[in-house]
Amino acid sequence: MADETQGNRTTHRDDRELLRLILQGQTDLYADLIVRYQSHVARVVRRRVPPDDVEEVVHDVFVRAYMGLSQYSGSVSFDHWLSGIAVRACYDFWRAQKREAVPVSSLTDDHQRWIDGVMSVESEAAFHDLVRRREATEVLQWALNRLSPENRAVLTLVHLEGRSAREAASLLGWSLVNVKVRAHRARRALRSLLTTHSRGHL
Amino acid sequence: MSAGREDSFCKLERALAEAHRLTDERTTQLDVVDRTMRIIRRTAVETDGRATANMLDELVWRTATIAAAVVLVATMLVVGVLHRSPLERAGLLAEEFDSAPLFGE
Repeated sequence: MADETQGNRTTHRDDRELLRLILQGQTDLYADLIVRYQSHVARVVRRRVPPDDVEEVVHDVFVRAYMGLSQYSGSVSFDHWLSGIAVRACYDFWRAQKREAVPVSSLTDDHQRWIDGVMSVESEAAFHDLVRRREATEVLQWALNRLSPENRAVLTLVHLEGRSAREAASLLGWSLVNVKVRAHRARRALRSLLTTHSRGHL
Repeated sequence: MSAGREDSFCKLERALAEAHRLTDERTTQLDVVDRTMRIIRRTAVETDGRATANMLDELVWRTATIAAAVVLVATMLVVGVLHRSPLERAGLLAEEFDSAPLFGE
């Protein structure tokens, strides 16, 4: 499973120098950090919020990171630290959306057919062909939009991205027990959703 | 849940995970440097302003504390010099009596 934090396991030595200088008041150097890490942050955010909101959330992540820069201890790599902020910013985004109660569309016949197709597919090639279809993303978004922000955050980290519960806990800033319980509930909620709304195989 | 249903669900879950992974490939680059730096610079200026104000506050309080301490010490010294203890005053009075005999010699 692709992992956004695998790229730079340790903080670059010049990152440390940059961070030191920024904290000493050379604010303009923060632009170098944004240039260096915006693709990484965008990759985390793109998987979690609608395309139209990606830029806003990435911007928010870098502002939050700047505000908390003095709290960065260097015990984890800088990109991992940024990933945590990005994951929490996305979680906050969905919490705000939940408050506004955005209506979610329902599954169409095309989506139903896609689900049935995935269920009955035999070959790997056909499976990968189905996965690349527009309906795949739409069904995924449909399911995620019906989950609570908490379940959505944990399901994305643990089940969709294949991260360990410990890593998910570290990124979300939650306890390990909480993440494990949530991961179980989230998977059950997804299963229940798909069972309720699919006609054939489930 | 039967093995068949479990298999179906796992397949669907894997398909959704793949779809999630492929999200990256369908999007374009973005650039938030200018926008973010505008906010950061404004915040930095505000923080500097607040820091200067805090420094001034601290300077005023420190000066006032030192001035108050100096005034207190000076006052205590003055009081100490002007108002001697009753015992000391009695001693001085006795000295005066001693130096002025009642019946001239």
